[in-house]
Amino acid sequence: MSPPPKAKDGGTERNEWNPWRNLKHIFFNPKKKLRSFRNQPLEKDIKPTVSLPPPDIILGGLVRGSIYGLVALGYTMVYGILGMINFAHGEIFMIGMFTCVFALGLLSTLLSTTTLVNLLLATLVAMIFSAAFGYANERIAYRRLRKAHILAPLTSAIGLSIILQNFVFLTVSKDNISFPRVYSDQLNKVAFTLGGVHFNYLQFTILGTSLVLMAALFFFIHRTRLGIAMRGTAQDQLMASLVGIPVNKIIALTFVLGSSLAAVAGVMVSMYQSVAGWNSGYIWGLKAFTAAVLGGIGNIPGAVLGGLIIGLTEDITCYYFGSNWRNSVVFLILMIVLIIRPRGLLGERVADKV
Amino acid sequence: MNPLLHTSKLGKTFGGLKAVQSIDLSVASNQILSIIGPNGAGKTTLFNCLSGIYKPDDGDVFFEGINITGLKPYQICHLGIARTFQNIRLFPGLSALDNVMIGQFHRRRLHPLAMLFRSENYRNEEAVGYEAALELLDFVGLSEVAHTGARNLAYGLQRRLEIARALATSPRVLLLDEPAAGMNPSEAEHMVDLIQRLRGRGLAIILIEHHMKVVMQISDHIMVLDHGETIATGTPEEVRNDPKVIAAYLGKES
Repeated sequence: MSPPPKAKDGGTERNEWNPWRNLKHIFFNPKKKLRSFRNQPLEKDIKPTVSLPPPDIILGGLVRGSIYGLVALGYTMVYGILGMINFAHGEIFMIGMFTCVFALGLLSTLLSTTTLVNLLLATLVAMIFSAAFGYANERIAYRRLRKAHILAPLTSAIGLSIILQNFVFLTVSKDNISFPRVYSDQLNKVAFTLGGVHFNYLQFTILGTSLVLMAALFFFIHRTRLGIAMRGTAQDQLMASLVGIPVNKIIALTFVLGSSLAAVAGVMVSMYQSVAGWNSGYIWGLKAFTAAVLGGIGNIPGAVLGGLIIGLTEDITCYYFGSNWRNSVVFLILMIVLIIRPRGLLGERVADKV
Repeated sequence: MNPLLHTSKLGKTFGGLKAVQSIDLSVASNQILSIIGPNGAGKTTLFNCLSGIYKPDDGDVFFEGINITGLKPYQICHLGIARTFQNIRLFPGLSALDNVMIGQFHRRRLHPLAMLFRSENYRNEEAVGYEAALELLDFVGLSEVAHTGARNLAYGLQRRLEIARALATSPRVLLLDEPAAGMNPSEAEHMVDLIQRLRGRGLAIILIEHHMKVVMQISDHIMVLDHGETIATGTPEEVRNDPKVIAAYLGKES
């Protein structure tokens, strides 16, 4: 038996994937090193410089993050009111994507209105469809199990999520479907150039829509009677019932609201990425869930903050390390948060919640 | 006088334990009925049956002549029965004002779309509700702490807030579960005063209380429970001198 060959330094390793070398390459600017070498300075004078990500990466991260934030709101609202994670939320997002694409197809053949009207109508249809699925999800997977052990509704929601994925896979499309180019191209046109960086309308549309929806939700929860009823139900269901709040309806409303937000996010993702697939709800949902946990699950501003942080992290990771690393880094963050600060960045103490 | 709320042969069993059995009570507007009895006599169980938290096993509950047995808590609340708890159950994360406003939830019906677009009707309603909530807080003496979070209020104030929240549901019958528990004599005095003023608003009040001084002072009728059964009913004077009551409370010797 011959001894295993020793790994050689240098050349042979070049083709292999070495994150540490990438790191060095990124944070220690090679140009600076080269110049210093030419001028023959002393070793200690060589100062490493960190190159900041360019503004379009930051904007891309914010756009992605605002979408995560929208989806995370659905997770965090359901958790706030029931104390359970809705694992079928990602699939409801995916259904929003599909519905929008099909509605656009139908609308452009049936109605000859402008692009904008079609797009708005399709978004509305997607919201209604997703809301219906969200409501059904509550009725099927949650209502009967509300008093059961916490793992029972969790399992049933995962089951429902697999059913929905496979349903779409088998009956709608096995392949990715693409978003009609007519609609996204206009928005993808470069809007303006600043400092050599191109920004397009779509990014601003997504960012703006998300922020407006988030603000509207915040207003709804804190300033309207229904919102107060929702917060009351979240804090004490029995007591809410005793002051005349129909608890079941309020919980259903929570699912419906979260699902329509997810539908809007789905529309925006399919516009942004131009494709939608039966399994795209899974990873987006999981990352939005990470965002909700990072911000402090049950906390609405926390979901938005968590979403933005996850989105930024992901795009910056892509920029520095390549896109293969982005999922690892995002879930690494989830693990670190769970270890160091389980209640999340803005979360309340668990004792207060229970 | 027609009773507003009455029960006939009301009973509730937990396993083999008869927590409450054959209770007949009735209360009319402007009346205060006190329910007293040793710990574990079934007083709170009775309240839970009346407010819909428990579904009674036997007997019926009638509100204004309608049988309301087994309705959901929120339906009973809509009809006009409100309650407070022995151990305070406010919404700790809401402000005092929001705690009261949540009680008005079902009183004003408007289309959700009206709410979404903040129609004029809706804004008027909100303003009316806001005023009504402030007025209620004023009634129980909490107007100064309207915007304080409920969890930051002092104990006595939390009790008053609980009553204000119950009143916000515009009840005709109010069930008070030990409103003076844990209060010092002067606070208890204030509570007596508040309950008297509540009676002045035309409410029928059923009161569970351990403070005998409070009970004797304000009750029109007293009902004594022991081991889930009624052992005496009558005016404060009659009950005070009933040998069975004395035995249940103080033991046979006295």
